[in-house]
Amino acid sequence: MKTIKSGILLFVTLFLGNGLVFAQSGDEGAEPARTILRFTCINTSDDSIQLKSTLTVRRDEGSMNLANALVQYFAVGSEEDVLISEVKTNYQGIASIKIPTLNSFPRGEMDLFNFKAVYEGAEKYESSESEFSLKPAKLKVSFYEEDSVRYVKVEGTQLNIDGTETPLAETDVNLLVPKMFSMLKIAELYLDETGIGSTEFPADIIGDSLGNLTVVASIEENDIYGNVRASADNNWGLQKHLISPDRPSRELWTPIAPLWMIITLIIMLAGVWGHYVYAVVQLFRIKKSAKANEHKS
Amino acid sequence: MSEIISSDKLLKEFAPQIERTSLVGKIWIIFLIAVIFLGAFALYWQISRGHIVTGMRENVVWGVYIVNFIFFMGISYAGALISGSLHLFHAGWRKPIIRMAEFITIISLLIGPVFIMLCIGRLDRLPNLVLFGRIQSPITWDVIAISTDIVGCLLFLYLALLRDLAKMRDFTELKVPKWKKKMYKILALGYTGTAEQQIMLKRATDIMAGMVIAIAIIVYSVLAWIFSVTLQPGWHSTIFGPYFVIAAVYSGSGVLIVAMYIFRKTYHLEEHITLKHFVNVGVIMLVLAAFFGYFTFSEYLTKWYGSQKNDEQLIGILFKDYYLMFILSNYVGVLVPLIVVGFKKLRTINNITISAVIVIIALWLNRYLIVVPTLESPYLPIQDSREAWVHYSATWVEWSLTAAGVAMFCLLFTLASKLIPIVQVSDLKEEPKQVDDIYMK
Repeated sequence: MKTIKSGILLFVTLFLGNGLVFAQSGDEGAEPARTILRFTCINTSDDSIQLKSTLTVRRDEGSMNLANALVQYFAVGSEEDVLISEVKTNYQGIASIKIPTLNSFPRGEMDLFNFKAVYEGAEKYESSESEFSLKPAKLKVSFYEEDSVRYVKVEGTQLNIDGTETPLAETDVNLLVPKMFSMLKIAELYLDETGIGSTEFPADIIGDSLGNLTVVASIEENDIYGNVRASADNNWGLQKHLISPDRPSRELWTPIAPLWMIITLIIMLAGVWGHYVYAVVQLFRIKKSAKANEHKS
Repeated sequence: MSEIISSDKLLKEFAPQIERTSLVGKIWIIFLIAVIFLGAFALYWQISRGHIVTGMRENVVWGVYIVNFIFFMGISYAGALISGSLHLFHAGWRKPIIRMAEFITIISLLIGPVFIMLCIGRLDRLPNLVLFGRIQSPITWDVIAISTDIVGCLLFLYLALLRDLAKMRDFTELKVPKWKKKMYKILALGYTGTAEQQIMLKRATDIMAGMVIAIAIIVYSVLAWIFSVTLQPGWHSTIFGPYFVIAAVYSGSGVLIVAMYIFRKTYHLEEHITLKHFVNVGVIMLVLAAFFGYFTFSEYLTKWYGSQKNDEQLIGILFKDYYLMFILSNYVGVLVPLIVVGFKKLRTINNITISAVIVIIALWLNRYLIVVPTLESPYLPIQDSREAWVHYSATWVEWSLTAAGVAMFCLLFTLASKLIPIVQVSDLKEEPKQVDDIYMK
């Protein structure tokens, strides 16, 4: 009887345990997940406007990028919206296109283009949309040296509805350098009434192994111009040396281990292997003593 | 004075296990080999098609292979700790079961690291671990520690076997092939049990018993540190070292009880392995269950109370997606041995064995819960992450290789019992028989 009871207990446990590892898939038949469409437009230096959307889906465990989702871009006019293009998101959830600045899309108040990005949704995902307005503009970045001091110069222009260009005046511009994970802000300058601004270039920015740098001038989320970006390269950066060959230091992250770590390891290994050797020596002594006894007998 | 006295009666009793294999035994061995072949096919599949055939992806880079590695290494250290401790404390009742603990140690120590190999995508780069290994890396510590441990445990096992090897060599009635006789003769090192030899052997065995305990603690702590030195939710914990050691011995005590049960039935060792042995190892399991429960509670309580974003997310996953597994691992796995061994009326061999099986399953799941959910909720989400990369589900390839690992463990255990008595003959004396009912009173 005890055996039967024990057997039932084991069976129930195994039955409960069996398949648990498999049964971790997502919820079937759940409500559509909420999607978030982050839409932005960037005036680029090649007389284009980049329309960029990032589509994410909200889940309990956090946000996930939504790939292969169709995003539609519209130019919003006073009458009906004009479809510009349809783009699928990549594995980062980004759908991006570039359109030329000179085009026949309608403009709204203050000469602003109005764009709209739409995700129509799917069975598992809710729809979402977002709008962005901006006036066409562009920046130009250049470098010069005066009395051994290095400067960055930024010129800004805006494109009017009649096709004329006028200075992009009285606006703040950030100077950035792309790094591994994000953009490093190195300076900030102000465009005067002529649309020109300049500032001293910092001497302590690290470039690549030859000191090459890309400097990005950026106007971000301006009420009129939206985002405006332009970049230029120079070799004014400090040359990057990952590890100084002359002064190797003993750190957790360098090729040479800290001394305390080596000493600890040696003491531990010597202690352990010393005892092993002692045990092996005893085995040899046993064998030796066996031979001696054999000779005696 | 020779220690090898006439213990022929005991040897005669254990000789059949070495001399012949029953039909059931042969079928069992064929079955195990078939499972290993299935694993070999899965391995070929994995090598020829790459790791894409497994459930491991960019986010969850470790799966059941690592779980198996931790599990087998755990029961290995448990075997070392239990056999070493029983030897050092001269526990008289240990004699019939200590050989099993020693076999568990060595066999699981040989199988565990194989699962690491299965995890590595580029095996051709394996020598780089030695050629360019950095002492600062816990992976290097682990390689050094495991290789040191294998040598130590082999040495300890050999020392423990020496007297039995001498007995087998001198037992003329043993009907085994010549190669086996020759093997006994070579390995026995001419040991005859003189007083001098006994002293030397005892000295070496005592020292190695102490060493295997110390090494087992250090090595399993090193394995725990591989997890705890990383900044991952659920892993970055100061108590992971002792927690792993306790979990290891706990699961190992379960495996030992199951091995005792199987060999007791298979080789009819009812006279030698009695209820007393099951209860004694069961009590060890009970104490470890309490410690394991305490560590688990402490681990999750502090994380829950701290309410850090990622810890909260991890605990949310554990109690939502993995709640059945979590309950089985951390509640059922702790409470069943406490109840079964804690109440005298429930202490039967069958009940203790069943609770040991539950402990083994629970502890395997515990390792799964440590490895997988954490990788499913990283601090830094990987760029270009896809949904399929975040959720892990093991494939038939991984399950086949897991089954092959378990089959290899059983096969090596079976073959080892065909080479040397599963019970330490040299330590046994012909004592009055212990009957289960007498012990129960």
